[in-house]
Amino acid sequence: MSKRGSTRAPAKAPAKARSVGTRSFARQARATGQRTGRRPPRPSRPPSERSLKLRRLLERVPRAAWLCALVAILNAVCWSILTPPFQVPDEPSHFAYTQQLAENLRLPRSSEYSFSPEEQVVMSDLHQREIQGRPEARTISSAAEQRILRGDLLQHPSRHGDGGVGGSAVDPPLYYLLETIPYGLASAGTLLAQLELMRLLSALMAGVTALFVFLFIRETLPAVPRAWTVGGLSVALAPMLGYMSGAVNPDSLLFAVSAAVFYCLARGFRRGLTPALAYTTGLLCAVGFLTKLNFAGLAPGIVLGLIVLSLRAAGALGRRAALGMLAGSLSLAASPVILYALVNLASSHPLLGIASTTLNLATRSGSVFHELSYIWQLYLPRLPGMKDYFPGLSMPRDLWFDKSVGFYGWLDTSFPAWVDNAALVPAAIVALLCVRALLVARAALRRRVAEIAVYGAVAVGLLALIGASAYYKAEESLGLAEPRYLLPLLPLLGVALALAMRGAGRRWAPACGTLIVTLFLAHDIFSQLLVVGRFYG
Amino acid sequence: MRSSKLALAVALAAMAAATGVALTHAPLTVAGTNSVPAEGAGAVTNGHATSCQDGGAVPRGTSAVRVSLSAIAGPSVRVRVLAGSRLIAQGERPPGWGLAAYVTVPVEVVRETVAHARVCVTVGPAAAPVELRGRPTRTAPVTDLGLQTVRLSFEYLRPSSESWWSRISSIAYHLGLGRAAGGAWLAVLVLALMLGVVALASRLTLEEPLEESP
Repeated sequence: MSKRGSTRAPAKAPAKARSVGTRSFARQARATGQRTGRRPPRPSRPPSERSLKLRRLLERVPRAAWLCALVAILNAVCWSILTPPFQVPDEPSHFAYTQQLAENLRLPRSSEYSFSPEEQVVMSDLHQREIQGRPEARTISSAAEQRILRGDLLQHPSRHGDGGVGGSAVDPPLYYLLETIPYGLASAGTLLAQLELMRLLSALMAGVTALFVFLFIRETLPAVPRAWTVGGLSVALAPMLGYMSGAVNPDSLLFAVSAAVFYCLARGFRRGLTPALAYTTGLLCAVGFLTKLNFAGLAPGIVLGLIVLSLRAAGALGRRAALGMLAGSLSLAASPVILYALVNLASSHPLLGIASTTLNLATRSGSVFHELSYIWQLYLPRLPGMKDYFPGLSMPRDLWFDKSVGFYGWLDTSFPAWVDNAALVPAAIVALLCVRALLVARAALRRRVAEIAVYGAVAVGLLALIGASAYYKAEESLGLAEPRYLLPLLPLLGVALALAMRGAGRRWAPACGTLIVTLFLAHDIFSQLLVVGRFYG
Repeated sequence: MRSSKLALAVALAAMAAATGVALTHAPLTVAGTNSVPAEGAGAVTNGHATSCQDGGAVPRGTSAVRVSLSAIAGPSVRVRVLAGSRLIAQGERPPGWGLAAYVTVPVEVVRETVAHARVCVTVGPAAAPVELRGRPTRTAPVTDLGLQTVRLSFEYLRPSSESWWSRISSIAYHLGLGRAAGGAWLAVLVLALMLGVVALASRLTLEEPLEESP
């Protein structure tokens, strides 16, 4: 890499030497500016090797990818404004976790809901508990209520809780550590200012997600540039992404990390695994483990991907080097978990800290067959001979599909049933077009069966983790059937949409792609209107 | 490229029209109740049950009934409004609703006010217990109570006289409350940002791809 960097830098000098006359120079300068979208470096201060490398890396990202990221950020910012404070699942708990880190400089002590006096005052003045789960209740709507809120905040209630941050206590700390930055930047203001700035950081993560989804599609379907835009843009406009990334929630970082990992795998399958790519993937996995426990569901598929890619790389790099690369990346990936376990072991705490209490549930005895049957039925229609775990419900339709159409606020805000029915039509068309594209390209698919199997394993791993969690927490099992938990698989949705565009055939593909994007745009706009009507109508 | 432009124009026009039409509708408001408070009786039903209860006066124009049932993923709920033995209106909410304190069941529009209605609620097979909130009809342990022994709360909903259009300024005002930097300008900001999103997305979809990979 460094060699490439040193050869590119002096290449700028001959470019100058070639120019003849001011017109030619101006033309060349304009062309350079158009290509790179930035001014040439100042001759007085040559950029360092590292910055050149980074610049070249960023320049290789298509402009459309940056614009997709911008769309996702703007969309999430809109959602962050439209959703009232603390009216997204577990946001009070996630805020409390950040506050605990920032104010008490400690990890949460328990899953009890003993937030700081300041947070409790704000939640009370905003009628948070009265609104949650009651779609007929609105947010504060009078100047008098606003005055009470302001007056209470002017009393400067304490920001120090006693370490009980609710359900988020089991989450790893990385996202919350990042959130302490906007929290600290807005610390001179009120809690509401801190919350809004923290939401904006999540919105930036939506941009990262859209960017990597675009790049993932570029690697998986390299011959169809329009498909990259269609897939990337549709994901950027997905209302569920905007809604979750417009709030304080570690899911927003999880989506971004997952999209980046998918991109790394796709890059490895297309261009071959290099040590840099292997270690980057390992590092991203470490970030994922430090973000949310759900990342564990993606891990088996990622490990499989790294093994397959290392085996392929063994031909070029040698078996020993490939094995070393694999071991290095896996060690890097597992390092946070191992380090955390060792620290807990040394301090006589449960092996995985507070998370151990959650995981202990999974040790209770139960038939593997029952568990598999349960997980199957959570996503797919029941097969003959299976015990009916969800009587009266068609899980794929009534839960996963309908709730993907709209499930906002504290999961108490959804579209009328006729909208769910109507949404089946475009969803079915997109699915058929996608299947058609797969059938047309079946020969190419056969050549990429290992790659597809790896993506499948990543997806199945996540679905199995969610299913197993639901199985072992019987009292809240159906509550775990939330489409947002599937958003780490957004890159696969992006590819499916890109394939659907291709499935329309060469002639109709551009129009089909446009319609897919506008479908997501419409879904997003009407979802926002739904939320506006629910909270402020 | 032309087909793409045409598709975009048609889709955006349809979206604008649909938004306009949606905003001409009026939000549902409570027109009447059966005066039973939706208290947490703690009772549950596991579905497959029907209960007919005194519904009080069901106002003219009622197009939905809000019933005090709550569940994580609720079963199908069917509501029938009767005047004596005559069916006035009925409707059904498909399964899968949930996480709210009530379930709202759309029904056929009630043409005339029914002074002493009976409302029958049928709860379909349930994958998880459905909580019944209302007033128990007899003194008994919570575990012995069921759909037949808890008087549910009914709220009769009908469209209000004001459309969403006419409420825009009040919505913009409400949006600005409870914020760090409040004001109706937040609504304008969201509108501007979303217009930016629409413009960017439109431009990107129409752009001819410049690069072709091998």
